[in-house]
Amino acid sequence: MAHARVLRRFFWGAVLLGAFSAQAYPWMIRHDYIGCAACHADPSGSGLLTAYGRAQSELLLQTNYGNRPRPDAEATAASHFLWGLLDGLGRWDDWLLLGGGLRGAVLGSGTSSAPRIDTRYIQMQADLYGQVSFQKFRANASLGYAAQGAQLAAITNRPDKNLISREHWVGFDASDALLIRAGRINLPFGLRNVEHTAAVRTATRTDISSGQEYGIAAAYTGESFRGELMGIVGNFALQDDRFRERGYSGLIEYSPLPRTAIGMSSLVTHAQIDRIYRVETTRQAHGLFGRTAPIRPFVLLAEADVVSSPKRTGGTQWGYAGLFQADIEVLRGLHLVPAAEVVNLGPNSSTLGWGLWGTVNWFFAPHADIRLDFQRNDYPGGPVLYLGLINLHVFL
Amino acid sequence: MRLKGSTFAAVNCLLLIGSLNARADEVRRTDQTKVTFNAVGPGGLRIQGVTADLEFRDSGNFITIVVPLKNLSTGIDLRDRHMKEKYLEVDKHPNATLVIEKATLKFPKPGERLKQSCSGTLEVHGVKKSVSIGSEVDNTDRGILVAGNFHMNLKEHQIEVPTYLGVTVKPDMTVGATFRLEP
Repeated sequence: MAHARVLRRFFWGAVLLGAFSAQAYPWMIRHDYIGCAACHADPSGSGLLTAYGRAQSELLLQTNYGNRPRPDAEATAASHFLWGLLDGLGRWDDWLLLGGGLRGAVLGSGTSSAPRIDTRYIQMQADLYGQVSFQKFRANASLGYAAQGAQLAAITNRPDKNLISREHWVGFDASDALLIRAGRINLPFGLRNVEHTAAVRTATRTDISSGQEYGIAAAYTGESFRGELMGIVGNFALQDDRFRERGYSGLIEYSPLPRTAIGMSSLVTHAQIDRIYRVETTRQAHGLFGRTAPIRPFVLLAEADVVSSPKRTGGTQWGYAGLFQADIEVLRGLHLVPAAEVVNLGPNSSTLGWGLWGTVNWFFAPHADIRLDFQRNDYPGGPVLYLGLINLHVFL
Repeated sequence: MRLKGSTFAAVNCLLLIGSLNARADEVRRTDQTKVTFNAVGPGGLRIQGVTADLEFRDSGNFITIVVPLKNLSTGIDLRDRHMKEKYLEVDKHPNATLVIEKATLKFPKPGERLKQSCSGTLEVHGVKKSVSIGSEVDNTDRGILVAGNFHMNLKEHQIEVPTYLGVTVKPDMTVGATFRLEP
């Protein structure tokens, strides 16, 4: 049951302490966006938006209340940084990108063994982002505040109330399709989704909340293929070098048909002392993922990973984690997102856990969305967990 | 560039039509029509434009396929407006036209499916260019099923390369069409 306890700690840690990061929507494949680099500074998606990405957020994501002068009108100034309030100072999108995100949530939780529902407020995100470009070079960084959690991204060293920097890197655009970066970077692995507590993210430790690592990465985005490979040199937010993982993480994705893509991921790292298992660990995760939008309003996403973990008696054992999710855009900007997940990091079926998600995500205004999540998680070794989360996200 | 695979073989149909019932400027009825263009941009951007408008004309020695562009759509209203107003200038050049000489075509027998390549003259944005067309024609009892495609370059037709907020579409694209000629 040790792995079950680890899994529960992963989950609660992610929910309560792992501050939430920026928007990442793999379901944009419904609009024929196979890759992410047109809309995001990170070529594998999430976070800081380009000028093009900001326009798409208004044209494609946000609910239209019929107040646009015509359906084919240009994106408005409200799509710009800070809703266009600084546009009078000039436009600088060609060399400077700015952004930020605020996300606050009220979490209600309970278990099958206790009738009480606990509620608490969580400041999930309070970040600023920026990127400066000069010819083929870029410098990108985020700076934020975490009242609790996100120690893996902390640049101050307090038990709570830390300044954090999830990403900071320098990059070289070797070509229109190839970006080489060095610094603290999101790990390229699987679906880059916002559900950082999903088992496929926690089991592989590849979430975009605070799961970034330092390293060197090369990202390629072609017409039908995209991929990224990162050499990991460790997380320098960890003071003790023995806990830093070194290795690689990578993904490759192929789009054989319009609005369809399939991919594979691989990660291998080694730490003298694994920060979770507390023993020397060579950790592996390998998997497949896919996205398809058979019709535009309906996107299916799936990921399945095998994950290694150390045995208590020595050696390595293999487990798995899977996610199956649908994104149904019932009206422009209003998404229903049912999901199911399964995880088993232990030696046999007694360590099998599973979860159900029901989400409503509404992009109701410029730069803003509200999200309701309901989860039922049945992990071994404890009662069934029930979560309700309502969060408001605003990006600058 | 010669293409393998499916063909823009309205041509083949025209040859049959011409041999069986040749009349100048005959417009043949078509259905199940889908005309597409596929373009790509940076960062994995893909754009597919689609229209169901197509006219098939037999003018004796030539087959002419006319595609009105007014209903061409990429799925995003603003992008469609830019495409038609700024780049294709549909108000000045409402149609794309492909002309193929019948003599260069072969036609499948009843029940036969035929793949072939041929050349044609494409006029878009008021500029004519020769194109190499790959086609597949299926002569069925439900009619003549035609599928074909070819490559084109926007610059060769004096079409400004589309760009929007720093994202520029590549000028090379693939055009395809499928339709059924009624028996």
